[in-house]
Amino acid sequence: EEEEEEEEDIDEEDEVLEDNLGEFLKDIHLDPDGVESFAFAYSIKHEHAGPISRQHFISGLREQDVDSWESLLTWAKRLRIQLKEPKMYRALYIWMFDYIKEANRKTIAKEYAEHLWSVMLPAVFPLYPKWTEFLDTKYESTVVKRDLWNCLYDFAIEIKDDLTNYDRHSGAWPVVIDEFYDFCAHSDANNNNQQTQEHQQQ
Amino acid sequence: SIRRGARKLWKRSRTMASGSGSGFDFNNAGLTREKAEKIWKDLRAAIVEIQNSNAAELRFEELYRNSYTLVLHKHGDLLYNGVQEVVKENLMRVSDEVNATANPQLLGTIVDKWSGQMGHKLVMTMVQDILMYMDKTYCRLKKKEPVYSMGLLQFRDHVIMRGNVSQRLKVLLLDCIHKERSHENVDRLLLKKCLSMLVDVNVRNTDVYIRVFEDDLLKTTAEFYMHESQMFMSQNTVSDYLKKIERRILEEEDRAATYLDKSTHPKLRKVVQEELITKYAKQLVENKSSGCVHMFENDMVDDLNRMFRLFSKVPRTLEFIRGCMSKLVKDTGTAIVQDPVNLKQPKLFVQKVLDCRKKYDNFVKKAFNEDRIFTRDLKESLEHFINLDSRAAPAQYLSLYLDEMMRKGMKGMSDEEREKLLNDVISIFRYLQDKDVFEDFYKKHLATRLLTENTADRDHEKRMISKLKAECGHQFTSRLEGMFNDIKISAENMVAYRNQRKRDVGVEMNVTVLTTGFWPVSNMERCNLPREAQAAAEEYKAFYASKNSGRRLTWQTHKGTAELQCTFKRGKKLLVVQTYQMVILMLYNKAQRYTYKQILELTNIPEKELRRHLLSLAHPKRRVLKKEPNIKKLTHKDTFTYNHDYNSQLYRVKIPLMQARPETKENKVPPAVAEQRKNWVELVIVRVMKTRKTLDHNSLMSEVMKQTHRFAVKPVFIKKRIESLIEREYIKRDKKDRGVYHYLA
Repeated sequence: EEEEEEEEDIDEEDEVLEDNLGEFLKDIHLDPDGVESFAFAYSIKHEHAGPISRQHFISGLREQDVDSWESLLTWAKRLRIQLKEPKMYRALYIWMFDYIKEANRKTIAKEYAEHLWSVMLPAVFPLYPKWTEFLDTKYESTVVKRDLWNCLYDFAIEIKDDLTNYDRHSGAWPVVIDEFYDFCAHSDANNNNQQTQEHQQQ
Repeated sequence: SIRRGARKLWKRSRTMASGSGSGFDFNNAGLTREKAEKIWKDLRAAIVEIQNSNAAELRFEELYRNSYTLVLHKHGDLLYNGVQEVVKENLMRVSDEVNATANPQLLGTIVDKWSGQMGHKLVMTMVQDILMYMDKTYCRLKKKEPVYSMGLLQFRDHVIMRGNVSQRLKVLLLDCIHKERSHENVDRLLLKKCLSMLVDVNVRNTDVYIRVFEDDLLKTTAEFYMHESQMFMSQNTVSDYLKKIERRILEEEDRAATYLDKSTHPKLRKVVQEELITKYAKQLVENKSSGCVHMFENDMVDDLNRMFRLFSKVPRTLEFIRGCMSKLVKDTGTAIVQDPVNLKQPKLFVQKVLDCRKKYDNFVKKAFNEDRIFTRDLKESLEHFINLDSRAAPAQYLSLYLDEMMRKGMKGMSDEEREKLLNDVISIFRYLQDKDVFEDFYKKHLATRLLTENTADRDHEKRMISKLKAECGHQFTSRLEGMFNDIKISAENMVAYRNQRKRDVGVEMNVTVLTTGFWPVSNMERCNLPREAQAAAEEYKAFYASKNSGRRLTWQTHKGTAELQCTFKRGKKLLVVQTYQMVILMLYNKAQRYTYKQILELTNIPEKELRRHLLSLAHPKRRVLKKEPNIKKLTHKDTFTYNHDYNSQLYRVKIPLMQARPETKENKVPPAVAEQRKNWVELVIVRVMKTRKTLDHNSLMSEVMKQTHRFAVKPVFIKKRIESLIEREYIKRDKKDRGVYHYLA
């Protein structure tokens, strides 16, 4: 019934607007600003960023066997749990590139990528702060290519914090990630120098 | 000679006694001890006679029979031990004599006792002859030392090793060698005999020889040469030192061959080489005043050759010479490549590089016997400095050099000289890493030469092309041949054109039609041709279209020349100018003065080109136009006035064009070439992936590198191309393994 109420509220409009969606997500205990909001779109197969049509909203949920408020809450709870699975998390990440990408382009704008990364990566990428530093200082392009997007995730998951298992020579990592590796190695060396200098000064 | 006679008799009687049984008395009934001892006594006496050189009276077959009898009746022990005893007794006497001999005669005496006319060896030979049967049966059975070698060993024990004889021998022998090394004469034959004695006396191995002589020989040799080398090196040049050690080494070889035992040769060689060569190799090479650098710089081929030959005996020392040569070549070459004077003059630059190469090539051939590794090192050193410059300037200079040679430099040269020059260019071309940069410049220069030079004889151009074809494959040269063809066809067309022209229109033209794709980049910009020129152009175009339908002609006004008859106060002149300059000058048929801005608008010539063509006409040296203000700086308001006062001594005047400032100032390869490289690598990647369908990262990288010979390709470069192709969906990564690629059809 509550669901029907909601339907009536937005009867005039075919689109589920941002604010309403935000409120809706809060009501079912999903974080409207975080990963969970994207997971929602992913689950109901809302493939491209933008307003969700009412039709899609309803049919998307229905396909998930959601037909009542209780089942909605259950479903949302399950979604939160699923997000903890690495496979699901990764699939979501990979999917997000196409979600944010404009239809006639092959790449996504750097600032959008940065935003999405800030949502998705901190939980799984220990070197994420370094990555943002790298983006600010060394990454000159204004776009992010799909290959980099995809490979970055694997890098985050596979490579250790101290980068000791990174194969620069035959790892087949994208060139940008090689540059990130160099960036980390270089700044480590600088830090060591600084530390020894400070130590000496003491 | 009595001795010899007795020996002959002895030998004859031996052969008579072997085998036959006539007169042989064999007692089968056993032999008592008493009887045996009697037989032995006789034998013993005979042996003593032999030892005293009275063998002539003895009868071989009797002695043989007696010893045979003893052995047969199981009295071998008696016989053997007895022989041992009697030999020993004799040797003790010999030993006393030897010990009593003074040093100066010791060697002579002992050798005489050993192998002299009445020497021990001979005695034992005879004794062995008698006791042959014992050797063959008893000794073998009881595993006792056969008689002859038993005798030798006894000489060892009782003569050489008794008293202090061996020590004295050692001292005397080494003393002789030292004397000889100090250039005194010694009795080599005596030495040889003495050393043979030491070897033979131990029968089965050279232990005695080694202990008494060889060990200390090697030690004293090392000391001797260590001392000598140090002294000599500190007071002499490297060159002289090498001469000296060459002599010493030959001396030692001679010594070894003449009187040392064969087993000593390699050991002695090693010691000598160690002390004379190995220890000092690095020092010799790196000696600041007379070492290798000095030798290279002063063309000391013989000395370097001597060093090479000597060092070749200890091959690993050769690396010092090689290292020195490589460094010198690289340093010299780097200086050439970085010298600003050379960088301004391509001809000088190339000449110096060629000279450097020739010089060291000569060393490798004459001093280093064309050694494979030296040849390789030289090649690498040349490659190193030739390719130091990331702009690939040497590639450009080589092409400029060739250009200058083709235009005028080869006038008056014989055919052989020209051939050599072309070969020199090719030889440097081989060292270039950025071959494609050279090719790019070469094509541009060749195109210009074909269009502007009137050389009817293009023979040397064609020869150069065939040489390049041999180096680069036919792909490179096929387009060049197309250029030649265009020239030929154009000439034929001109003949046909002139023939079919019925009327004599004002402008006479010579047209060359270039096939796009064969020639370097063409210019699509059009300027406003003057009416007369435009009319002539249209006429030719029509003619050409009638012969080749479906082809489009675009006039390349940035090239080409024109001859203008210009009227001045002092008379008419024929000015030979560039097309653009012709366009500019034709304006002055309508007015006397124009501003720069007006000229720009009226001619529609691209500004960059207009500047230099215009300023060339107003240049102080040949002011066909007067510029106001008369400074180099050009603004839109500046005016250009026809100079009626222009004069020249010649009627036909060629107006030179200011050089365009070179575009490549950055540390990069020319952009056209850089683009070509990208395309090439992508082409290879796609080709490989299409064939293999699936391939791992490392294999793909190595395939690309294998197939790229025209320039040095870096892994990062290839990686970027791979990513570009992924982006454009020619290939994709494997879902599970990032390092595996799949071809996308």
